[in-house]
Amino acid sequence: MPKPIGKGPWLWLVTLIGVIVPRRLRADWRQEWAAELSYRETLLAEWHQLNWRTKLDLLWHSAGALMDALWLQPRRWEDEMIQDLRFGVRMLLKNKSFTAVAILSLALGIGANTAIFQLLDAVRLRMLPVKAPQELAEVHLADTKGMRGGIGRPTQVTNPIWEQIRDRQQAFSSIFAWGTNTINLAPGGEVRSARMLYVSGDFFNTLGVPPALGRVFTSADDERGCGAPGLIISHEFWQREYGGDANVIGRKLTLADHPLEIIGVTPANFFGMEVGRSFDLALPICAIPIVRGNDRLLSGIIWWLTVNGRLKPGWSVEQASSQMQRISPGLFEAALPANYPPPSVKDYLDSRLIAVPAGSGVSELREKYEQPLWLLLAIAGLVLLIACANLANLLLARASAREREIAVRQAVGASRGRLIRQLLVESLLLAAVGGALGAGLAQVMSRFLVVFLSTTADPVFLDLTPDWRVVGFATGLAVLTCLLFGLTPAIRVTRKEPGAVMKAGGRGMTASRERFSLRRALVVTQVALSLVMVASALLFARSLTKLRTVDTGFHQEGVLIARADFERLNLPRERYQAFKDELLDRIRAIPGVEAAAVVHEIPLDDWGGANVWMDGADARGGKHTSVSRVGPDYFKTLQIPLLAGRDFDARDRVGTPKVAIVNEAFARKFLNGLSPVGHRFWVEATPGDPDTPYEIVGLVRDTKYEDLREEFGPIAYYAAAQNAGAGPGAPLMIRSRLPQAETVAVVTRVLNEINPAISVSFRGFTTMIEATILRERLMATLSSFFGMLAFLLACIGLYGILSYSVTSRTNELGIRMALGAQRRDMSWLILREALLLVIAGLAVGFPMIFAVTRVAATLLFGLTPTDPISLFLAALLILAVAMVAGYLPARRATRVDPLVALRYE
Amino acid sequence: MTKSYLSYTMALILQVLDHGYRYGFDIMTITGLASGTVYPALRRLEDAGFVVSKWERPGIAQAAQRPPRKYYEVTGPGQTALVEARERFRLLTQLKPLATNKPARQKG
Repeated sequence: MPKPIGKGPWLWLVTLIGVIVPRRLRADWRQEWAAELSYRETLLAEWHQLNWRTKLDLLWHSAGALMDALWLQPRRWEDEMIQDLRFGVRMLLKNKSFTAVAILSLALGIGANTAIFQLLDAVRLRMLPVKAPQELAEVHLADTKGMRGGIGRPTQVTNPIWEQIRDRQQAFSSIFAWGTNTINLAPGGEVRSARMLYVSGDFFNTLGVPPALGRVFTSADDERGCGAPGLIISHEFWQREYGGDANVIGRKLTLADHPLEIIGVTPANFFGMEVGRSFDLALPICAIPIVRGNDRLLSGIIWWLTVNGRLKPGWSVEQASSQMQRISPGLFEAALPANYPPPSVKDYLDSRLIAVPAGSGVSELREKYEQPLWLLLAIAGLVLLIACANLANLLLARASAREREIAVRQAVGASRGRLIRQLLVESLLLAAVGGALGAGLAQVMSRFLVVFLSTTADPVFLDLTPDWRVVGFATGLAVLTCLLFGLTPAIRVTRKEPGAVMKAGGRGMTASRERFSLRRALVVTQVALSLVMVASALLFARSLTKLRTVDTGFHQEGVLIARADFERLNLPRERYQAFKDELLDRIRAIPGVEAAAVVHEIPLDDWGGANVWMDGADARGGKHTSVSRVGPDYFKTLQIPLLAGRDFDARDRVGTPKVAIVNEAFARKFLNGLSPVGHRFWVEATPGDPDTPYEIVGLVRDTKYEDLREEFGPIAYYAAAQNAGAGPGAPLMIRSRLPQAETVAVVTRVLNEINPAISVSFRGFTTMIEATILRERLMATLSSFFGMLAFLLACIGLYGILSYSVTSRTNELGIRMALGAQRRDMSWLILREALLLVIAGLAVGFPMIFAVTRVAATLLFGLTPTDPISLFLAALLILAVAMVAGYLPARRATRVDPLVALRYE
Repeated sequence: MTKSYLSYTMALILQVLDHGYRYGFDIMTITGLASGTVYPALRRLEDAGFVVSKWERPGIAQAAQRPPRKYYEVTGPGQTALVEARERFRLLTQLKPLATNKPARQKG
């Protein structure tokens, strides 16, 4: 007996899902599923089992059709996509110049974006190349209130605190500390520096870093009094110094006169815990006395160790943090140094430890460059946007050329969706080729950026091998750009009625207003965006110039910094000063050297500070001043005018009453501008000294101290010779008429004559200052480059639309000429169009500037983000160059021959 | 897919087909696999040439007033692959062939 056909919702579902099945399989597919479902339904009805449970079961089964349909998706590619691709390649090859321009601008745009993103990825997003980096946390003080002494980074602790943390913590399955510095490997003469990494015993095992060769340290290697233990070298050092010799294990390397045995080599991808820096040699913390004396181990006021740990399974960073806070009171009680400055003891004891995630390591580079890099990424993104607008414009122009082709295809039965897909495949091809080239270009550009950020004193080391994020970013950009520039033209060109297009047949006085208005809007956007970019480039460039020409208070040209170190001479401490004087006398005697002086705090590089109050004032009212320890002739060397009193001289020795020279800002802050010479001030006690009075013997002009960007602040200069604790080193500043290389050679020779065991390193003062404004230079250089690129693209866009306008209006122009229009009128006709477009672009761009440049405010020096000169210059520049871009088509308009034009179709 | 290697699910489906369960839903009932697993597996087996699909004669379907069903049969290469698969998955050999050509009853 025939049964009625099933009508359950499952049949609807299958019909619906069938939509995504490739068309040529769809009918069969639907029938197979429908037949199975209705057969089952019939059967169930026959068995009297068609209840809600079996119905639900059927529905569930029909949902499986989705998986089946999805599985069939690749077949869509197989037939239709391959066909589209083949046709797309053919179309692109047919129009080589368009393809070349498109690919080049995409490659530049995607390349620049990817390069910057790659840098951001390396400094910000990437985790350390160690085992399970997400389990790592850093332990440091919650704030710096209780920290006194020599502080490397606010997140570092002293060795006594580290030892307490190690012994008391319960949150970490293992914990380690590390610190860095550079030391000199050369036995004398010019310094050959090596970047040291001092690590506690569990460092390598906690991080899960295996040795590439030999072995790594264990906790047995790091015990106080370990003397001269083994040494681990980095892969890079191994390659550089030993040529990757496999027999390096067991060889000796002499550090500060101690021959140390090389026991291991670290793997190539491991650079330590600091992103942006690498290391050469690693020693256990216990071995630091052999290179730096006992200070760092015992001192409770040298903050130089970073503490990291691996969380115990099941512990969160928050739990670890609260455990660290709980143990803090007892821990700081136990670690309190005996000589801690009394006013700071309470703050020290009140300090609290916290734990923060540390999977991506620490990085000075990150702190300094993260914000500029995001900003540059935004700027580079704008360049890409402009490039996309350009391509969209070109494609729109091309689309109108292909109008008839498209119309014919539609007429013979191509569906609109299929045509759009075909056009999008062409865009996708462009984007894919441009993206691939761009990704390659990014590899070069990002390495160039790293070189840009490196200085001789501070080389940047970054792992730039592309990871999934970089690949994903470049791919995403390519797809996005493809949609941006390809979708609109594809939709527009297929929207036309085929009949109308075929009838129009290209004959017409002027091109359709509507399509033209979209292209105009694109050019207006381009001009607006390039105004934003040119204006920000000008802002950054002017900011850099301002920084370079800012009044520092001293003259840096012709000054050389030389750090001489005579520790290896093993002189008795009381001979140090006499030896320094001798060095200085010999250097001052060099022909061409105008002045030289000892300077412990090189301006804009080192810094120190103290709490001081004037004699007779309340000690509690002590205020901060910067401090600089300098020798006689310092002011002469830097050409800082001495306004009153005297310079330091041979009278100022250890044992004589302490004297100081102050600057004008000091006099303003502490003496209300009174002449300070003859007054006395007190310096708050430090762990080494009690409260100490200083007599002011001189007054000098204000200078920059720590940073070019700062306002002049108070500085107290101490006489370097009165510092009993000075070490066996002489940081010198030398003003010379000779070229720098020559001064370096002569000074090296002179020091070598005195004693070959003196080691020395040199830096030009101007080079050093230039390095402090690297960030501004980066912003200025890159934003100028991007600004120019954007502007160039915008001009090409403007030129494109105007010449298209001239071509498509040839007919109209011919009639005008025939009716007596002058050449001048003709060119004005076209130029006016250019002018209108540019002015519209500027009008749109100005409000955008105000919105955008506010972000850049913190990166500018001496300028507001709305600096009128920069904005005016940017607008003027754009107007001028845009007129040139407009002039070329305008001239072509005047050359139209009316006879030819009227015959033209 | 590689012809020499069948996953357990694929081998199971092939074995069940060999035993005479020829329709997608019958396979689901006997194996307990979800429809989202069985159908893609059938498509892959078909791509690999291990099974072929045929439409049921229209007369039968017309008599039951429903669209013709599609059924699957194991091919020669499919038999070879099944022999190999039985070596690897011993459990497959314990399946009993279908006695008649009637579809299995669905439980519940």
